[in-house]
Amino acid sequence: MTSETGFDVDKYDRFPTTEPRPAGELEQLEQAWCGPRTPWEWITATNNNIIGVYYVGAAMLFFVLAGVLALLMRTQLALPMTGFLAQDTYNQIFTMHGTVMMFLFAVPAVEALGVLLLPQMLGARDLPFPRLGAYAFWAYLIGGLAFFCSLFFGLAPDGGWFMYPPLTSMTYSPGINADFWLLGIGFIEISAIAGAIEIIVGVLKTRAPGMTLDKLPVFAWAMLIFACMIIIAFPSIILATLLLELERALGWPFFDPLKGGDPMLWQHLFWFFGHPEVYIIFLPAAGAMSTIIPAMARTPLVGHPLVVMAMLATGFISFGVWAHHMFTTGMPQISINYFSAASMAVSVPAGVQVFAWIATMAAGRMRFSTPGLFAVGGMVIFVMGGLTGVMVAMVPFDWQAHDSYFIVAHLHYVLIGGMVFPLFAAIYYWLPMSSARPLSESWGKWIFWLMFAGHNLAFMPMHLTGLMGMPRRVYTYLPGRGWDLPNFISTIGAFMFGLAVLLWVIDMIRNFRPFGPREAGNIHDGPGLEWLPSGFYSVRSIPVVKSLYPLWDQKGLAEDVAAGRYFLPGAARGERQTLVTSPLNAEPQYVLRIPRPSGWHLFGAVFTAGFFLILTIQAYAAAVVSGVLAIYCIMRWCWFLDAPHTRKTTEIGAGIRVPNYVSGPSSHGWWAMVIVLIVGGMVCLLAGFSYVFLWSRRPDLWQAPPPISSLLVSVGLLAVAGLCALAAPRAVRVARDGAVSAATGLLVLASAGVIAASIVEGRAWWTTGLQPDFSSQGASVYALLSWAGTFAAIGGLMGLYVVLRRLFGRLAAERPSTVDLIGLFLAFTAAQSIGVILLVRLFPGSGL
Amino acid sequence: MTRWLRMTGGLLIWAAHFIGLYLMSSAADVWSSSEAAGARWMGLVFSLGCLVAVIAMAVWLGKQQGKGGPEAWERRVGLTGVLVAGVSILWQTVPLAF
Repeated sequence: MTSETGFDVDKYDRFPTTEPRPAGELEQLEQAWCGPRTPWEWITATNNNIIGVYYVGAAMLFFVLAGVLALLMRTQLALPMTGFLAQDTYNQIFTMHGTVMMFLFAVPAVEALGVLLLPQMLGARDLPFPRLGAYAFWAYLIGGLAFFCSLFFGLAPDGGWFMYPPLTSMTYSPGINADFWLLGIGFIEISAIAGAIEIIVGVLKTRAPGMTLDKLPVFAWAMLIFACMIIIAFPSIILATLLLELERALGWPFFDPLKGGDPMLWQHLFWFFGHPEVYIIFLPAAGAMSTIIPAMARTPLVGHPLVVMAMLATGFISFGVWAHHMFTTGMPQISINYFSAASMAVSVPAGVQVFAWIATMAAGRMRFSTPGLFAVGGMVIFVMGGLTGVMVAMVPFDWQAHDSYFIVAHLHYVLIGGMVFPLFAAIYYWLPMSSARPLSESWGKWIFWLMFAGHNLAFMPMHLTGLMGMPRRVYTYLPGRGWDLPNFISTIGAFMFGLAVLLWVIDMIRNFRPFGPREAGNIHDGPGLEWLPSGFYSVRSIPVVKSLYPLWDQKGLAEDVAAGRYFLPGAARGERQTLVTSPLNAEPQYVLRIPRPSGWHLFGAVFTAGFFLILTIQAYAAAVVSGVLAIYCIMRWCWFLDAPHTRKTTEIGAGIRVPNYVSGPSSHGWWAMVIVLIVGGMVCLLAGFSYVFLWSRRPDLWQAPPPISSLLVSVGLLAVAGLCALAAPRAVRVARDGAVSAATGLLVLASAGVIAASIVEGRAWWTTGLQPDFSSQGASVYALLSWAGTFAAIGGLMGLYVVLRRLFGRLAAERPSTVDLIGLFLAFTAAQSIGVILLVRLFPGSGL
Repeated sequence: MTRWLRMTGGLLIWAAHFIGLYLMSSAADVWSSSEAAGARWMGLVFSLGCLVAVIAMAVWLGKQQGKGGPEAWERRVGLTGVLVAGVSILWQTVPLAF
């Protein structure tokens, strides 16, 4: 094996070590990672063991709440012409059901599973950005609860979970109901992106030594692909919600055909997010299935490389099928044909995984305890949903079934089979690891059969009602159309499903009781590192991994790990630490000091949520105050990063020493910044697509850009700013007095440059007389400039931050990460702004 | 980066092929019609180019025999990805005939 970093992998043979561990080492480790003791410590905890449980709990709370809404809808539809719910209320309830299930349950639930399981599964002490993970959780919880509560005030959105304009425009949806959706969901997606950053860097950089990509657990592969998909897909919904909110609040006509806008733009942006979202939800669940089935069958996963390839292929192709939701919108026939072909092709990688699961069950001796039942039941339901998916991928059939109950049946089969059942399998499988107690096996079987039967009773008849012409989203129907009986059966099935969930909730409450024995251990004989003995510190020592199934193949591993005979067996200097490894071969690179809990991430989340929520009710001054407080809290949180180390290296075991600090592309912070910039770049790219799309709708409305003189000034300023930003990291590394001041000066110049260019460009367009509410050109030009301007403003804050750090002595030549990351951000900002300016000036026709 | 490319190269070509076809048909629809023969020929030539790229990728991966351990596994994933990409590109090209 070629070394990735120059690390001699023969050193792995020194483990497990044989000499006795120093006295007090374990106690010091426990002290460093001690759990919360006071209520405040429970709230401000950042450890993945705690945040992961909170996260899963919150996601399941939203699952139950959205399920209750489903029962209300099914009660209304049980019989024709019932008056249980008023029409307006029904509209709000079906919108909230879909929105909460998709945005507040499905994505957060799988993300939560990742936060909870990944550190243990990878052999890490924690994920690399625990405060970011905690921030993401609190932002999601506060934002989600506030969003849900809008239902109690009659302010919930009522335009359906995909909120198509013009129905959701100010004309047809006055009031703030739609704004709650737009701002609430946009904000919650930011929280999902924060979690995705943590997962990507965690999987790539904090694996146990020796855990090369072929030994990376399939669940971790799935989470890595899932998080990458979030980074590519979610910017689309962030942009879409921003544009619609700008149209509603300020009259910028992105979707108004009278001024050159086009409602189809929303559909493209929404489904570019919305369809990958289905696979974003499915992939981690599939990863869990590929972990649970081999464990329950006690045999390795059949076709492991094929399964990984299938997950990668699913990730890629999921971005090529968004328009299959738009077959009835009048797109060009050949485009429809491409999307139809791609939609059928996506069933191939999904099929590969299903066949691998079946083959694994056939190759081993499957145990049908509750996790096994949920895994197999989920597979059956998912295959049924997948088959109807191929049916609706065929355009003529889709024209008939579109917006009917057939689609409702299809999507529930896919999502419940592809995500909900695997999630329950995962909960039953991994709960003994997390709470040290298994759930009741006898209750579990009842719950499974009730849920399985309830699901099929509820959704199977919907295929028929759909084919008989019942449209989705109707609040009632006339008798005598043949819909009465299937609807009644669906309602009975829904209540059976609800009963199963109720029993599960009771069992969960019983499981988390604060008394009684907690010593379940590895009851499923699971083969992954997550089944090693663990505490708040995760594993006592970080093992060398030599197999995809280490607990099956590496005899005595659990005992050696618990005895501290592997990497990082203690907590040097009482610090919380984990080992950072290289992304491909997982070779040790450096020791990462993990921050201790503080309240800043929590306050940051509260004020960020406050900013968005207060904005919804149009209390702009209060929203600005909340926003400023959020920025202050986040800057305070960052203030303690990049702090000095008392030692340059740490011994991580068997005489191997690695640095305590690295900078540049090897560092975890650099990776996180690159991912943030990809998110920003994706929003910008999609905004560019929107600009070109709107031009293609009404080119006659397009007017000439400003004169070239201002273009030269803007681009010149940005070029200088970009060069200063790129030079700063080099300047700080020059071994001379004043290097830090020079780097600070360059960063300040860079931030001033990007701000100045934004002002020059904005002013140039304003003087042409084009205003954002005039036409789709005005709206899209100012949207692009605003996006670039927002980055410039953040760059300005970063300039201020770096000056403050310099003044307070928190910048140093031997710790260049702060300068590196701010330099990277500013260079990107300059490049992005140049791209934006050139697009709006030179396309479609330049003023040259 | 080379190792990531080895694993995902075929799938990347597939993604580029899909996006390329979509952009070409959309552009053709703005200037004339996506049904026009010229647009279809452009799509066909582009698809052939992508197929050649996939074959080149397969040849490159085929030449890298002999490495054991994780790199052999990554090569296997890459090769299956190339195979899927080749079949998918052919499949995606079929609509040009109708």
